[in-house]
Parts: sequence; C-alpha cells; structure tokens
Amino acid sequence: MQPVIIDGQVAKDFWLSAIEEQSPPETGRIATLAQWQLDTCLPAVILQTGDNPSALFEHLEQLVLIAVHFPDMNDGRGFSIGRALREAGFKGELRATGRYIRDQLQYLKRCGFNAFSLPSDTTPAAALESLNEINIHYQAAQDLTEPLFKRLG
Amino acid sequence: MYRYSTNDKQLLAERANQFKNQTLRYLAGELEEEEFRPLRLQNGLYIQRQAPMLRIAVPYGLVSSDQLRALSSISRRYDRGYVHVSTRQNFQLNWPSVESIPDILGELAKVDMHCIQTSGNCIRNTTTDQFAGVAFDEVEDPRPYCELIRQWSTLHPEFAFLPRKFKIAVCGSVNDRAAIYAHDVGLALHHRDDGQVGVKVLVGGGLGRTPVIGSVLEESLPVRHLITYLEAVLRVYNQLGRRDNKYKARIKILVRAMGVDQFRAAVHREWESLKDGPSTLDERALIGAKDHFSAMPYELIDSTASQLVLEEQSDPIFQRWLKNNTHAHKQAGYRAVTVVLKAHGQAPGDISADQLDVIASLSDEYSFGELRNTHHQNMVLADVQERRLYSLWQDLQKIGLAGANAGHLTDMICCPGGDFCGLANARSIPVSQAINERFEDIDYLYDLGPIELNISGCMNACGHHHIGHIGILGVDKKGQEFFQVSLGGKQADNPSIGKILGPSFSAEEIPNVVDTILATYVNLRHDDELFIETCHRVGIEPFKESVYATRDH
Repeated sequence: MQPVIIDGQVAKDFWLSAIEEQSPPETGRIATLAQWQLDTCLPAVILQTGDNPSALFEHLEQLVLIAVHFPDMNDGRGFSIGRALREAGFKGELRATGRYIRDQLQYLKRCGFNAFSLPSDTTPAAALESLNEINIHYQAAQDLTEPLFKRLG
Repeated sequence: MYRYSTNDKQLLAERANQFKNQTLRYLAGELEEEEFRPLRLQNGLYIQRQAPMLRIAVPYGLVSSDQLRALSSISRRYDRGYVHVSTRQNFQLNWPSVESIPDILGELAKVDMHCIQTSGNCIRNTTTDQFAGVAFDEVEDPRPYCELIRQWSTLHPEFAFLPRKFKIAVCGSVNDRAAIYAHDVGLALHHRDDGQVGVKVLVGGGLGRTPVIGSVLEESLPVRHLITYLEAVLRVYNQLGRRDNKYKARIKILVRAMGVDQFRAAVHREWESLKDGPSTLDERALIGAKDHFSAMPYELIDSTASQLVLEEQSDPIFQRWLKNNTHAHKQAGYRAVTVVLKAHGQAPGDISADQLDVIASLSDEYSFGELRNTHHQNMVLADVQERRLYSLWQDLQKIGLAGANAGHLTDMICCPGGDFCGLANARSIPVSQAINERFEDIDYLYDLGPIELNISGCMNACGHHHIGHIGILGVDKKGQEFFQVSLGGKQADNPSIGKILGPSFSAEEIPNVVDTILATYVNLRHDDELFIETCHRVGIEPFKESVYATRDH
C-alpha cells in the first residue's frame, strides 16, 4: 500500500479506497459521494473534481475524512474544493488522492489539504521535501490568514 | 519603481532552485514530458519550432537599466545577442538551450528578474499603460495596484492550474493604452463620487479564435475590494470554466455561456465569504503600495522656455520625431519618449544586446535609470527633460533607434510567427518587413496619420490582428501560407473587432493590398479624418471594391 502523509508525517493509511459498486460501503471504507448521499452519517467521503463541495457543508462536523480525487494534474478544480471546504469550517482530514504530482503538494497544503495519498512514483521523503520548497507566500490562504503586505506591518 | 524586498528576493531564489531540481529530474527521466510541461511553462519555458523560447517577466512593463544590462549580457552568453519585446510587455529569448535555463534563471534572480507565470494556465504577468505614473491624461497611477495584483497572483496556490491562461490589464488614464477590453479581466481606475478610487471591472475580453470585447462586470468597485473581488472571479472561473476543449476554455466562453448577469451573480456568491476579509486593501496597504512609486526627483522647469528650445530646432526629422514619439507628461518641462523597435531588417520588437546596453545608459543619463516595455513592442524612456530631447534624439540615431514613426503604419505589432513559433500557420515577420520596406517614405506615412497595423501568424492572435485598424492574419491553405486582411479594429475608446475584407492573399500581394487600402482612405477621407474614423464612417465596402478590383487573378 502506498504510504500517506498526514500533517507532515508519514502515516499508515487506515482507510480503504472507495468502491463504486459496493453499497453501502463497509466500515472503514471511504464512500463515494453517491453512497454518502444515501447515508450522510458515513464518516468518510471522496469527491471528484467536478462535484460541488457544498453538498457536504451541512454535515462537515460528522465527517472525519474528505478526500478529493485529482483525475489529472492539470485539473485545478480540486484546489478550489479544498479551500471551499476549509472555509466552510471543515476541521477533519482533507486528503488529496489521484494523479497530481509532488510538485503540487505545497499548493495543495496551502489550499487546506493536510493529507496526501502519494502518487506511485513519489517517495515519502521526496514528498516531505516538496511540501516546504517555498517559504515566502504573498497571499492569504488556509495556512496564512493574512497576505504578506499585512504581515509585514 | 518597486524595489525587491528580502522576501521577494528569497522567493525568487527558492523558485529558481525549485525549477532547477525539476529540470534535473526531467533530464534524468524522473519527470514525464507531460508532467514537466506545466512546470516549465509556469517558468516561462516554451519548446518552440527550432529551439526553446524563454519568456522573461517584466511586471507591468517596468524595467531598470541594471536589469537591461544583465539581460544584454545573458542574451550574449546564452543566446544570440538580442531579445524580443512581447505585446504583454515581457522580454523573450528565442534561442536558449533547455540545459542552460536554470543558470539563466539564477542570473536573472540576481537582478530581481524571473520567468514566473509568463506562460501556462495560470494568472499571467499583469500589464498596464506604458506611460503609467507620468501620463498627462492619467486619473490614478495604476502601478501600485499592478504591484498588489502581482503579489496576489504570484504562486497563488489555488489558481496555478486554471482551465486556460488568464490575463489582467490595468488602465488608469482617460485614453486606454493597455487594451483592457481585450483581456480576461480589464480594470479601469477612476475617482468615485465618494472620493475613493473606483475600479471598473471588465471580464471576458480576448482575441484568439473567438475575439470578444470584454463585458462590464462592475461599473465602480471601491478599490479596497480589488483583491477579494479578483479572487472571487478566479474561483468561479477555476470551478466552472471548460476543461474539455482548450479552444473553449478561456473565461470569455464561460461568461458568454452563463451570460454576464449570471456570471456576476456567481461571483457575488463567492465574494460574500471573501469580501472585507484579510486581503482587503486597507488604507495602510494602499499607502504602502503607493510608496514604491513615489514621483521621480523632477527639476522645477519653466516649460514655456523649454518648449521654445524645442521649437528652435529646425531639423524637420527631429520635429517629426518630437511630434510622433514624445508624449505629454504630468510634470512641466518633461516628456515621455517612445523608442520604436521596428527598424528595417529587424523583426518588430527585437532589440540587440548592443542597443540594450546603450539604451540602458541613455536611461541613466536622461530618465532616472528606468524604462518601460510597451504593448506595441516598443520601449519608453518616461521622464526626459524637454530641453534634452534633441540630444537624446541624436544619441538614439547613433544606434538606429530614432525612427520617427511611433503610432504610424510601420510601427506594427507582429507576433514571432512561423519563423519561431510552433503554433503559427504563416510567417508574419517577412510580411512586416515587406510592409516596412514598401512604406519607407516618411512624408507619406506622416500624411496618413496614426494607423495601427497588427499582424498575427495564426488565429491565436498574439499579434492582436483583431484590434488593429488594419489586421493581417496568417492562415494555412493546403500547406500554403495566405493572409487574411481585416479593417476597422480598435483597441480602445469604443473598441471593436475588425471586419474581414474578403478572400485571403499571398504574402507577396500584401504590400499592394495595404497600398490600395491606404490610397482608398486618402481618396475618401474628410479633412483631418483619421484612418480608423474613415473606416467606421464608410464601412468596409469601398475598401473591398478597390482591393479586389485591382487584384490579379
């Protein structure tokens, strides 16, 4: 199993990947959005980049894990989904999965993702390095509440 | 101009190092071609027809003499001793090797330059009026706002993988010189009735395959909301813009599909949670940004006396240059000077390393060591004393850059075209050179008055042919290059898209076609009527008749 990184640490992944056919998902398995919508008490759900995250907004407190699946590194919608979920108050694990690359990890982190299922060609050591490549950030984002021009004053 | 802080410098160094590692991974086979592609594009590196092309960012067109000298040195050592000024106020190197790019970026970083987001599906370099801060018709200096947008958009974590590229232009003057109606977002600064600076926000303008004039999203947004509002616009675009077809992925297609009112409603929904948040530009932020662009240490000059000095210069060529190439200045006794980069035998916008060195020294001597790149692919010395103009003109003559044709037919906008670009259908540079040679007669050019002629080598429209008074577009017909001509395009003040004249022409025919168009104008014009005014008054028909009547079949 590919390792995951959670809050900057290599961790064991306790969750089983979502399976579309299975309904309802067994305990410990991430639900697809369709499965979750049939039972909004399920604790873990995965969104596709085309999904509207506001479907989850009323249940964010019950959710332990929200994963966002990137079908392709160029599909940047997931970045906005991450920020939208955090801005709506989601405090649980926000995990990026799919076909992004390590060079996008820091942007994902800044958008509120704290967990990463690593792409198959990325080692945990490389991922941890990429998470902190740039140390100067101009914008306010999920990791910094104020833009640089205000932090300086 | 904005001087880089230690933070800015650290960011550039870290970014250069990051891209160096990415390039090494790519060269070692650890990064796939399609994975490296967006990374290299966001660092300005294109793989072109003959060689890579590196696009160097010049934030809102402002560059210092030290930066120019570094650039000339880089172009000598890593390229072929010249650079190209692009329509979005950047510089391009046409012949660097992929392996040398990290070194070039390292050298650029030493003079606070970089290639960040000069390409790729992200927010590109923000552009503005080349006379920003000095223009006589300026309402509000756009540079502090451009700088705030630069900071906000640089490595923005949410908007680095947009459906398509995203270009913002800002204008702060009565006359729009930044083509704000032809940008994904155009911003026009003004003073509101309540005394605040307001921003008119345009959205969904653009050229390319589907030319569209931008629609008004907000008539007058208080400027403190500028960043939070842009953030909302980008969020809507990032989530809803089409990703299935790159030709339908620009924001203009989304705005058209939703309708501007629906689009505005979606922006307002996003804006609700952002408005008045931490990115709001409070008074301190605005003052801080403005401090970077305080006025130059101008001398107090009696302009009546200094204008008299100019009038006394009897050289008619100088007088022509004075009229065409210098622009009214806010400060009495000063003018802004346009250095036209359209010399014979050179591609429009190209400038040699030797010329760069001289022009850097001239800017030190005459204009506080600063220069600007223009949307028309020229350079500007923005702060020259009137009484020193004659001397500057003589110095420019020595390096072949005293062309007195600013704003005239041969001051063309032209994309690099099929000679360099992998996308082009046709070679635009030879056409520009043929026109340049054909219309050498400066008296005739002068008599024709201001005319904007824009040439693109393909429908991506990098040469902005849609908004040229005369637009020329390279098209491919069964492997042969042809050129479609349009008339009546206009970039500002009731902007319009040019109308196609009719069937396309071979490259050889173009100078004759342009000649016939101009002769038709001369016949039809009323006293003092500009070319574009005649075009709009009489429509396309008279031009069509004369052009196709004389055409050999």
